[in-house]
Amino acid sequence: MPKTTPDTQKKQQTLKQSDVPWNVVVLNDPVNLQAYVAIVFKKVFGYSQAKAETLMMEVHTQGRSVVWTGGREKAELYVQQLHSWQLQTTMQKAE
Amino acid sequence: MKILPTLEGGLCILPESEVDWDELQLICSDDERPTYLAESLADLMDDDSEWGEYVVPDLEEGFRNQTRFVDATIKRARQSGEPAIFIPPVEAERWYGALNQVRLSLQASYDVEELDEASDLNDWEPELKSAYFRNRFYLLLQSMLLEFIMNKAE
Repeated sequence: MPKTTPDTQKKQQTLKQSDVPWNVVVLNDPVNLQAYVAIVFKKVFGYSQAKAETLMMEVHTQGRSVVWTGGREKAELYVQQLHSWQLQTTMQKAE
Repeated sequence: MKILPTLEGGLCILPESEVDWDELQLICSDDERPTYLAESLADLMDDDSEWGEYVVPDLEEGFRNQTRFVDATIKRARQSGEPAIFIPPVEAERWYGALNQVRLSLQASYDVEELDEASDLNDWEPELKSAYFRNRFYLLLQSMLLEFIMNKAE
């Protein structure tokens, strides 16, 4: 005998899916200037100059950087903001 | 063309010929550029995000506002015979955005950032040469916006 009803199982699955953290990933491109990318990180996330520069250098040297991790809705909002600043950005489920 | 910082914390562009004015007006020469950029950013998202339906129209409108603003500023200055275009700090981000759009477009069309400066420019097609120098000029203007306005505003 199952311990939960199908409805409860569905709710738990939905809860699990919405609980999965998402990464906001910024990709390198040859056009956006390094100083500009750091300024955008500070404006969008409120990061310090040091953290913004570290993430910017990660994008530059490794081709990508996970700049934020958290709930899906907030991740989508951040991606939208980064797109509005013309940064190549996507989001992926965190492993 | 000269570009100088101003005492009020902005930039002043001094075109010295009709060619300089033409060069500036080319920043906003392509009406389709905001649409293309918004759609290319949406391509980075999963289809099930419905980015194209919900986000792309807003992005496109934002990009179009940047180019419309810069286009109107340049045309107004040229038509009224003003000797210079002033970019006050409050307008720097819109200028930067419009310049970024044109540079992204030149990169997508001509791969300008990969062109080898050491090679003989005379061997290049005129269109490629033009794209290369336009990109260098817009890059310089962006760098000055960052150095004299946007970095200081942080």
